[in-house]
Order: sequence, then structure tokens, then C-alpha cells
Amino acid sequence: MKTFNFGTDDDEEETREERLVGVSGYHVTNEGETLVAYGLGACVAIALWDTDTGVGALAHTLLPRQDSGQGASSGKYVDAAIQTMLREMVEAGAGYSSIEARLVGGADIFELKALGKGVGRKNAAVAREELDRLDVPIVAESTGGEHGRTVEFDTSTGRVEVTTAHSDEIEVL
Amino acid sequence: MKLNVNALGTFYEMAREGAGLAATRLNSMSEFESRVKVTRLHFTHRSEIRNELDDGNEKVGIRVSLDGELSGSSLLLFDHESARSVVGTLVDDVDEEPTNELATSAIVELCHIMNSGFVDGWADVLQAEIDVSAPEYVIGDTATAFIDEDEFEKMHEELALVFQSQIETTGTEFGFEHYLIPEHDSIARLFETQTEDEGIEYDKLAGFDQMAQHGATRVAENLTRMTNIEMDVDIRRINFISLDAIPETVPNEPLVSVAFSFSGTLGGYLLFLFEPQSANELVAATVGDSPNGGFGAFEQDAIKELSNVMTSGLLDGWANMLDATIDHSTPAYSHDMGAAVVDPLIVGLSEVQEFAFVFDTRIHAVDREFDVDIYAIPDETDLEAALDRLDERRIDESLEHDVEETEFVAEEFDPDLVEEIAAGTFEEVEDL
Repeated sequence: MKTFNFGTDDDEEETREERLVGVSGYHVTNEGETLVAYGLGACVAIALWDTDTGVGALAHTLLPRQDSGQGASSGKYVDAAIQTMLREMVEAGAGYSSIEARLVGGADIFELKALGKGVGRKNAAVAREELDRLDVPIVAESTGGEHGRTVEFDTSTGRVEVTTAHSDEIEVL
Repeated sequence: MKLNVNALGTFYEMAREGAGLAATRLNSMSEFESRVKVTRLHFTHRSEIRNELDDGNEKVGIRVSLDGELSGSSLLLFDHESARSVVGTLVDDVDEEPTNELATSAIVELCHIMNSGFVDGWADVLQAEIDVSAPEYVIGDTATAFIDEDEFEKMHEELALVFQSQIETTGTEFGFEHYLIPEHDSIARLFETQTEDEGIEYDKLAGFDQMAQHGATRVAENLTRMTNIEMDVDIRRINFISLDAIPETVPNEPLVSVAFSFSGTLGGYLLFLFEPQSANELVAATVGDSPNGGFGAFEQDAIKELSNVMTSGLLDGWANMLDATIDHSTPAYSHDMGAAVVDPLIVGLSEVQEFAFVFDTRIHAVDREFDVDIYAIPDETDLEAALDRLDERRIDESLEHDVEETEFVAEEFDPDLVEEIAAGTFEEVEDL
């Protein structure tokens, strides 16, 4: 069975809680948690972090815009997730002007015409548009390509680690 | 009885929220930080429920009988080690073995509180009274330790409905399952009160599933012939699930996967998932060992073609049953994390639906450690329309036809094709 805490009792630095953010989910925290989204294919993870207060948020989005799918979950749509997380981050003590963004995912795993071209790229593009519209700078991204990604976002430091099934290397954003 | 997708969705959400409440209660009573990993609403042959509980691993928990607007059984089961861990956090200085009287009381109390949250949620949404029996402590490694024969008899034989939720915790290996197994008559009454005229006729879905079972069996037989490895159908069920939750049902490890889209009277996606070792063994058994080692272009073409043959077999059976045309695309290959290969298909379907009927099949080798997971995810609207038009007499005719047919309908591996794959000259037809 999968567990999602990789810490050890004798290393306090490593015991910070890891919280899994599933598909269509999002989480906002001011407690220094590490937020994790597994197996991003066409989905896009949006990591927001306030460099001053350390308030952080991660969304695991599925579709680009609220009018593009079924279901009302805020974390499902790129545009709604960004808006909701920003609002909740400010409520949690973040300063809007010191929030920065990182994007992960948006790959095209399968070449199936029924899926349309560039579904993943479209999710990432809408994330860029929405963040630009809301004046939130994107400081780094790992998007596109043909491989899935897992993202771990340590909100105590702002460090975002990206891993894939195809490499042992960890990409740090 | 008609299964309305909105009603199913409501029931699904109730089960998921109920499991969430149960997890919250576990958190407040123990030192665990737990959450619902996944909630499933299965339609499955009742023998599969028995098989799942009969897995030889000892489980510990409670059984509660439900009566009133919703009757059936609610089972909350920890695996043996998890039960010990839970007892350790609930009671100080006690023998944690679940046979110890204090340990037993602690487990019963905890499970009872978790179950109450679950049942209260159902009662609130249904605005109905549900009577709950006193919890009965259950322990064992066979199905009859948890469900007696009378209860099995009350389930729908071919397509029993089961709500199943897994709870996981941070930091520890933890096994906990909640099963809600309603009596068929009870769930039928419930659907009648929740469902308007629209919906999928239960018996038609059961008939269609029967055909899918035959299709899976034929695929297993065909694989046996192609590989000389005896294969059998391990799991067959229809899973009604939120699209968002599907990635959590797939192993989060690198898998060889082959995807197809299908279209026509019934549209959707078909996904084959192989553990890398299983894929290697299948390819080696079918077209011989790799000329280059590893899982290169030769092996990828071979596993794609193998999946293509299985797809034709499955979808031909469905088309025959529905008296419809179903075309499928050429295979698309990926070797990636399980969740990552499922999510593009979910993105595709999420534009038009929130939930899906997933036809979930596992074919495994009888005497070896490998298997193939097949997920067929039809477009929900298409499925409803196709089953609505389905003449129930056709179910029997299709099954009779299937019995008379001595050869699998899909093509066998063509020796020329094998040569083409080996020579790197294999060309696929135009994608859909």
C-alpha cells in the first residue's frame, strides 16, 4: 500500500507532513507542509508560493477553463484553481504581490486523435494566460513533452522537485 | 430497476463523504493522520466479493446489519497489522493482538464510531431511517467469516452492487477497507425513489456485463494460444467511479501501456496496462526474445499488436451484442507512471461527463507472476443509449453464438506480421 510520508523520526527536518493533492484537488497551507501531486500526464500542477510569508498552494488541474467540463470542483479547472488558491492564500496571510508561480505537467502522453492535439499544452497555456492576467509571475516551469511527472512542493522553502519515470535525476524549479 | 447516472453519482458521493467522515473519526480517536484513498461503486459477480474477502489474509473489524430504508451489511475491516497499530494508539499497555479482550473492545468501539458516521451520512441524504444493529466483532481470513451464506444469496448473482472505500494513513503501511453491501431488493427500492424514467435498465447492464465476461474469457483463451502461457480472467467488474478518482486506482509505478480510442455506436477509450516484466514475458512468449534486449521498438510494436488483437476481440463482442458498429484506433504506446497514462483519457472524457462506468478486467497467468489490466471506459451517454436500445433477447442469442464459435473472432498473430515487426517494416493503418 502506498504511503506518503518519507520522513524518519530521527530527522526532524524530514518529518514534515506530506500531503497528497489528487486529481481536481488543491490545498493551501501556511504550515510548511510538502504538497505532492503524483503522475501528472496532461494534467497541470500549479504551485503558488509567497516568498515573504511561506504560504503555499498546489492544485492538480484537469481541464483548462470552468466552462470546458462537467463538475464543480474548484481544483479541476486551471482558471478556477488559480483564482481560488490566490484568494485563500491571501486569507491565510499571504501578500498578493509577493506570490510567485511554478507550473508542472501538461504532457502529451498518447498520440490519439480522439484526444485532440496538445491537450496538455492547452492546460499549461491557460495557466500562463490566467497568471499573467492576475499579475502573478511564473518563475519556473517543467511542462510539455511526452512523459509524466510527479511534483513535490516543500512550502517551507518554496523548493519544487519534479521527477519522471524516465530519469533518476530530480529537476528543481 | 433503472440506474440513473445522477442517482448513482449521488450515492457515490455519499459513499465517498461517508468514508471521509470515517477517516476523520479515526484521526480524532487515534494518532493516525488518515484520508480516503479511493471510493468505488462496483457492480460485480457476487463470487468476486467472496474471492476478495477470501484472500487468505487475516482481517479484523466489525459487521453491522442495516435495516429500514437501506438494508444490507456494512463491514469495516483492518488487516491484522493495522489492527495491532490502531489498538496500540487507542489503549496503553495492552497486548495488541486482536484476540485480546481489551484490544477487541477497542477495535469494535472505533469501528462502530466510524460506521455511525458513514450510515448517518446516508440517512441524512436519503432523508430516511436506517436501523443499525449492534456491531459484531469479526476476524478471519475467509469470506464466510464476514458474510454468511444467507447474505450472499440475497445479492444479485451476476451484478451485485458494492460500495468499497480504502483509507490510508501518512507514514505507516495501513490496510483498511469499508464495504457497504446493500441487499438487491433494497437498492432497487432506493433507485426507484431516486430515479425518474431515464436511466440504464439494471438487467440490461447485467446482460451486457455477462457478454463482457465472455469477451474477457475469450481474450484470455486467445492469449493462451498465442503465448502458450495459460491465462485466466482474474477480476471482472463494472466500476462506477468519479473520473477524478481513476488515477488513484492505478499503481503509481512505471507501466507499459497501450491505449485505443473507439467510436461508432459506442465511443470511449480502452487502456491496457502491463508491468514491464509482464510485458517482456508476453512479448518473448509471442514473438521470441528481443534481438536487442530491453523494451525497444521491436517489443513496443509487438505489445501494440498484441493489444490490438485483444481490442478487436473485446470490441467485436460488444458490437455483436449491441448490433452496432464499433471502430477502434491504432494503438498508442507509452511507458510511464500509471496515473500519468490514465490522466489524458480522463481529460478527454471530463469535458462531457463527471462519472464513468469503467469495465475493469484483469487477466493473469495461472502459474506465473504476471497479469494484464484492461480498462474500458465508454462514453457514458453512448453506453446509456446503446443499452437502452439493447433487446434483451439478443443477450441470450449473443451468448449462444459465442458458445458455438470455436475460434476466437480476432485475428491470430500473422507470421508475416511478426517478420514485419522484426524487420522494422510494420506499418499501422490510418488512425481514427
